[in-house]
Amino acid sequence: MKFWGWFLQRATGLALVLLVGVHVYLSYFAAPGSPITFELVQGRIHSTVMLVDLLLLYCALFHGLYGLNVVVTDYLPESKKVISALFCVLGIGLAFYGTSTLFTLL
Amino acid sequence: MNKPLIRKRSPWDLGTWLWLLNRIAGVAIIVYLCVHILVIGSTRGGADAFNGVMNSLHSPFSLFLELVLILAIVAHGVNGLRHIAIDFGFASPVEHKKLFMIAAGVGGFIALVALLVAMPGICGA
Amino acid sequence: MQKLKIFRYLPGQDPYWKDYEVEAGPDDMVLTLLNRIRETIDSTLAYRFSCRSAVCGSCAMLINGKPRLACQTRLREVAGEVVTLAPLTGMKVIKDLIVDMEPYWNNLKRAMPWLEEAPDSKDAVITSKTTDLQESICACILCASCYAACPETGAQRSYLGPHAIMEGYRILHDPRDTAAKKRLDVLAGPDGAWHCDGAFGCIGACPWDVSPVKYLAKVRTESMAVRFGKVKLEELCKEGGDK
Repeated sequence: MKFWGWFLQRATGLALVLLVGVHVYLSYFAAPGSPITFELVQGRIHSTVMLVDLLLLYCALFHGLYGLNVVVTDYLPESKKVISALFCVLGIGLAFYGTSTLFTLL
Repeated sequence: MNKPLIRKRSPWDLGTWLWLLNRIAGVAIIVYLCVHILVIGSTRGGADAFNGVMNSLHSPFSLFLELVLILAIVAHGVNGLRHIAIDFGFASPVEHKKLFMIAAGVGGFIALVALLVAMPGICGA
Repeated sequence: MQKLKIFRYLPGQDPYWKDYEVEAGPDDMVLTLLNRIRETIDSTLAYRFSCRSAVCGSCAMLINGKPRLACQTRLREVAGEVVTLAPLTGMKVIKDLIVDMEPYWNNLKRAMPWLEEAPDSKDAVITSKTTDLQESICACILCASCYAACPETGAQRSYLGPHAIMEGYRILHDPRDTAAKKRLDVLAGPDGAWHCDGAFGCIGACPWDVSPVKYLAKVRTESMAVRFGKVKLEELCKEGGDK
């Protein structure tokens, strides 16, 4: 179990180097300077394959929350189970919220 | 009554400092990510809701935070790649300082390019 | 004369830093100064030492914030107006510069640093690769500097620690050992090498440049090779580890 956490952290990290790069480029540098409006965001999402945004969302949530979990449980080792459970719930919640946001914008 | 005294570690060389900075950058990024997901989520309320939120967030301080975020992402990403190289056996841990030099060079270059492109964009907005 | 700032502590009381000033030459070891202080200025100062020659590992402590052996650190290496001495981090302080090494030893035992021999192990072939590995790792004097330098170890944490995983790796690649699977399950298990988060403090802290993290990395890559079917565990152990 610990192995898979470690392994997925590295795998998502690698994926994120690519996905975040693409995301920052598409969202930011493709039209720098323009104020960020609803239309701009919607246009950007329409122009990108949904899979990229979804993968970015799930990889970033896993990598980030797993990392945060490691940091927090380092300081509170006795409450490892509770903290991990809370981060799981937070992650799943944000994943659902983000997914539905993306489909709403479509 | 007698709480045992365990002294905390402090970083004292390159590796230990980079470890700490990587953690700080990571925490900053995930906190930003959660906020980002919620902010983009305000689009569910339509154009007015989203544009309203964006206007209220617009300030010189938040622009500064964006620059810090770009640096944090580049630093964390490049440091992470250095870790992955060691974790999967592409390099030995004893040469982690050499790897850091390469990572710092690449990361510095990317950060410079990113900031140069982002600066007019951020200042113009 | 050299000024020193030494960590003082008695259980139940608040810790404090005590200033000392003692005669010193640039080639004196920090341990020499400690003994001088204890013998001529303050006999209540408590610290561990034994061999005075960097082979027993007793006098490991934080010297100017870095884990080092007091008997191996010359004054001119820690140049400065004041030399700070503190007990190793991550372990309970018993008194002054003495820490409770129980978790360190218990973790070492969990890695089973002994041979589990089968009756036919006299047929085991020991190559120069095996002895190279054994010699490299046997340079370790078990001083706990790496354990203290590692941010992942600690009294309330279950991580084995770099020393234990390294010793376990040494036996894993001893052709006479027959408990490879059991051993790898510990070294690459939930308390094993996956905890290493890449701070590499152990590299700089080791007084004999053994770099335990090198072997930790090997435990990771080798266990992944076994897990993903690239190599069989028995073959891996027979061919001897990399030193």
